[in-house]
Amino acid sequence: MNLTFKRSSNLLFVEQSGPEIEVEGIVDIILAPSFYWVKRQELPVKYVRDVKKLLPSIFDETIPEGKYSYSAYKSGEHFVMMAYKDKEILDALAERGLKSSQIGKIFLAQSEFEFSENALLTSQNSALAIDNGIVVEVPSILVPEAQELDLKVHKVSKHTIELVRYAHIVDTKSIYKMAAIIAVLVLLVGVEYGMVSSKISMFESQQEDVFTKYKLPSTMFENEALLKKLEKRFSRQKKLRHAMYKVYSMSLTSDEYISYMEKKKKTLFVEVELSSKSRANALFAYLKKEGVKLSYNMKRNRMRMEIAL
Amino acid sequence: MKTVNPFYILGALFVVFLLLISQLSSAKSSLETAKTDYFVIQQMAEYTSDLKKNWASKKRNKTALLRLLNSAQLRDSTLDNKVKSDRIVITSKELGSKEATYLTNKLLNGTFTVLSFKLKRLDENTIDIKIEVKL
Repeated sequence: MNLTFKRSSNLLFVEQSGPEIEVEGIVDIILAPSFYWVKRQELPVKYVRDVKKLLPSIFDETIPEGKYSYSAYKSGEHFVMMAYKDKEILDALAERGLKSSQIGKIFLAQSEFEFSENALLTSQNSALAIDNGIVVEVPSILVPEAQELDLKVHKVSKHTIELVRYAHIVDTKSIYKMAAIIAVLVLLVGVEYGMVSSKISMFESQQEDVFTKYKLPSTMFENEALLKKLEKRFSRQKKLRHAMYKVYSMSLTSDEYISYMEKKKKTLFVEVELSSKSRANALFAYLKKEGVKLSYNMKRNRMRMEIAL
Repeated sequence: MKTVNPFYILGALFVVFLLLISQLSSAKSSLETAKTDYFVIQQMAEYTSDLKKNWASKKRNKTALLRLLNSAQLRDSTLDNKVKSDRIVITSKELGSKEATYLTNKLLNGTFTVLSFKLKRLDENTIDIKIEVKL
């Protein structure tokens, strides 16, 4: 008879080694003593919460070095304390074919069978015996009076443990501390994001108000068209003023004078009576040097200029 | 084992943190764009408004022109002006050169839109003039 594990409808007793376990759905498990270290002693404290703080030092130097998780409960005048390695248990369970997602509650044999009156046969070769309130795993041959473990009638205790896969790297408390720090950072970044978003909305709404403030058309398209039109007008008027200023700045002799000036669309016509034809070249050179675009012709001593605006 | 692995919580928070950081960075960039857009629009609006006020204000141009034409220097001249819906046409068959210089200087130094003009020297002291100024 294979007694590697006993099962009720949803409760399994699991040892570290044995054949693969096949289960459907979620099962609760009782871990054999080989999964954990246990101490049972009286302590000068009243509550379990006070003991929990002392657990690492209580087990210190009495068990192999490593990163342990601890569990404790009070049993009469004594405290029962357990130390175990989450990762090792999870790996062993995985090797037995039990995935984390398939496991419901986890109990330890210590808390479940502490008050058992008889030794319990867990498999063909091993049994659970109670020695001074400590549940130990012994070869079945040593306890011939052992009774078969029947999980169908077993009432589980309220002492369960939780296994964390990465507990050997960092303890849960530290993870929660880190999570809290990140949560605060998330909050701060969230608040800043909210403030930035509100500023964006403010600038966007102000953009719409700008045109109203300056009594301009409401759309960007209309304003661009208006600006283009005004800039064109301004540019032409500037060119006209520049050309006329340069024409008036020509150094004419006392018998020379401007006899005619006319602006038609984009052209300025200027006629200058000169003292001699040769003077035209000097005036043309001057205006050209001053950036005035012009052409000219002569009729006797009259210089007829066409200036592009 | 039904309890949520704290690493998942940590991981989820970290992912949320990274997403928020990314969102914040993108929002900050949008804010810069919105700020720049706002100042560009503000500048454009100011510039457009100034140009409009100076070069396209019908009421302002009309008032300024009529004030110029009725100024002491031009009041007694032979200037004739016709106010049309969009322009003022100023003419004189024989305007004194002093008045002509005063008038053209004022027009060209001001923010008037001179549509067209014709100045013809009749003699040393007299000028035939026609100027169209946009309102």
